[in-house]
Amino acid sequence: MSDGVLDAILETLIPRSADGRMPGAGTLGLGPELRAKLSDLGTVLDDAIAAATDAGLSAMPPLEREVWLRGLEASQPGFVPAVYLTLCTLYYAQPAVLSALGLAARPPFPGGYELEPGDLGVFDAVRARGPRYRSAGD
Amino acid sequence: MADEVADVVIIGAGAAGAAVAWSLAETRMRIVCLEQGGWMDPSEYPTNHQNWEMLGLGPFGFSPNTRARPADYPVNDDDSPIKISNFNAVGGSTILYAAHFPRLHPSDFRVKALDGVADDWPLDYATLEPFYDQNAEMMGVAGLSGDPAYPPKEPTLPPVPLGRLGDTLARGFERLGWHVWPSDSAIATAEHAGRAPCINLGPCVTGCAQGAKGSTDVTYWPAAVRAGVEVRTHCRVREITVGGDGLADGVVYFDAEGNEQRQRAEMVIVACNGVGTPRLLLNSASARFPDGLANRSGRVGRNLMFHPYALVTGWFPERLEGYKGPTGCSLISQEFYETDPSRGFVRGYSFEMLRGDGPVRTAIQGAAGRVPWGSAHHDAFAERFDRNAGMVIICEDLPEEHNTVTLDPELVDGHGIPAPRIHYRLGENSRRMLEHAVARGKEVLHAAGAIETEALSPLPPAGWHLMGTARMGTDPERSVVDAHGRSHDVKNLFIVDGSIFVTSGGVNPTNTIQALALYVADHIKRNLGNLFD
Repeated sequence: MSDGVLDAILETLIPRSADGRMPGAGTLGLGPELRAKLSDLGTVLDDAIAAATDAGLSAMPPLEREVWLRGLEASQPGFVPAVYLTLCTLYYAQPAVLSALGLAARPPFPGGYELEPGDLGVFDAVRARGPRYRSAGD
Repeated sequence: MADEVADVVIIGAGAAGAAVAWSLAETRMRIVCLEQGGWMDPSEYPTNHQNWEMLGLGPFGFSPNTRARPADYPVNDDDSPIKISNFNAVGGSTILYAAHFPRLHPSDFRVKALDGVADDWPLDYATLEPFYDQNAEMMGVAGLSGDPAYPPKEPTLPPVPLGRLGDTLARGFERLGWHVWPSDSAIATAEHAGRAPCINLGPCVTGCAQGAKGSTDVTYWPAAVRAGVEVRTHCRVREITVGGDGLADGVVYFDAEGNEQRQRAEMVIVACNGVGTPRLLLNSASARFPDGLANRSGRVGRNLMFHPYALVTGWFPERLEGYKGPTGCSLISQEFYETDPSRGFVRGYSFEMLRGDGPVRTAIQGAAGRVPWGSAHHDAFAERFDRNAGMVIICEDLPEEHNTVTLDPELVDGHGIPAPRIHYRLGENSRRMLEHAVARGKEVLHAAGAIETEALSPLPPAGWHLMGTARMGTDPERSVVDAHGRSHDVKNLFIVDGSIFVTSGGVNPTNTIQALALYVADHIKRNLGNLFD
């Protein structure tokens, strides 16, 4: 089974952004990991790849690919969403994608993040309005 | 081990078990705590990993039924719109909690007297106040003094930073003239008791890799163990046994190798929370207690209270840096906390403001069509990523006897112990309260600048506050334990967890659970000489 065709499907699902800032999902080598996570789909993924191969998806221009994939989505409801959602979980954990979003391309720990303390002056007005709890005769 | 008699056996090493163990340790009594989970390894928490968002949905998810860790037991919550959330480990559910740490209000202890519903507690805020203070020091509570929603109290540490998101939300409340205040949070915002300060990792609810969040494995337990308390992990108690004199004389438990063991004890303290405690008591039925241990009142397992939650989310035109900072701790609003009958319900609720989603969670909103695949993907993602903030709404739940924890007739855990079964219906008062709260939540988010809002009410996975199923009271016919947490029926049996709550209040219960545990421990220490007379 050609992962080149799978990459074309992934690139159609999350393409390179128009401004070039965000990489396309087909260029990140996510195919093997996606296959592993979708192993419970059985032959459905391979059947879709085979259909895409027969249709010449890899040679189509981007808009034509999208039309073809929407046709597959209509004929096999559930398949494209399953692949897409799984792809999102992989794509948005990629260092290249995180960097493109302006985020640190690392796990949160141990670097952590700086966070401003905020404007505590806004609570002066709340304090000035006085107690608001009910007495219980304690 | 089989012949040694402990002075005290504590069942459960969570929020309450830790506090009572630490407090009693100074007596030098031989104290053994049996915990069905183990010690957590912070290096396993999701924030150590690149794919932290997805790891948070698996082994560190909320539901024991889907998480299925070795220490989990199944819970039949099919007959409840709110699903049970708990965690078994040294630290218990504090491993996964958001560390939001408010106190109950004085009025929460006098619901019957003030509002004519539910019951009054056999103690009051003033009685519990010194134990709230003691707990604040041990857990390390960050906050801001001067909150007019409470009697005066002093936080231990500076408030959790608000960041751009908190500032944005606070302005919304201020535009409406509503109460809002920095959350009381069990998070070390500065170095405290040897713990490193918070570094704003984000998802506190999947475990704190930094150790700044106040889970009891890093707060009470180190001190309790140094003082001589023995914690036996991976030990699941099957039943509490009673001798011929009607006193509890120990427990039967499965050890880490799965072998049945017996630990005899002079005193038994149960700290298994609102589902685990009634389950254990009901599984400890005997000829003397055919309806379950300490259940002559018939109230064990009854009056289950959650906090019906709603989630209200707003999307804003600007980026909020919401992926930074403790996810559940920034601001709290108690504008609608105290009863106002003109609203159409009694009692009230809190807004607890939430930080935003990471990139994966933002993207998988595509399931609802918001971030589509294809040529429109990136623009839609950019409109949403780092632009959401919102709140959970915590509604007070009234005690109703038909809301119960019983034993499932078929489902058992890995040791063959009958599992708990939940029966729960959302009350009419709660429905009206949720409706009011969702509308107000959307109102304040729009006031803060949100261009779009949505709500989910009630929130199904929000069964993480478990209360009322072994309630306190002065009447042995209508309560399970007395004002000092002691069973009316078994003089040397104490319960110290959320199951002893009489009412739920409209705030997270952990601070109050621990204050009660400290209060009960204090009573035990003061009366050791004649405790069982």
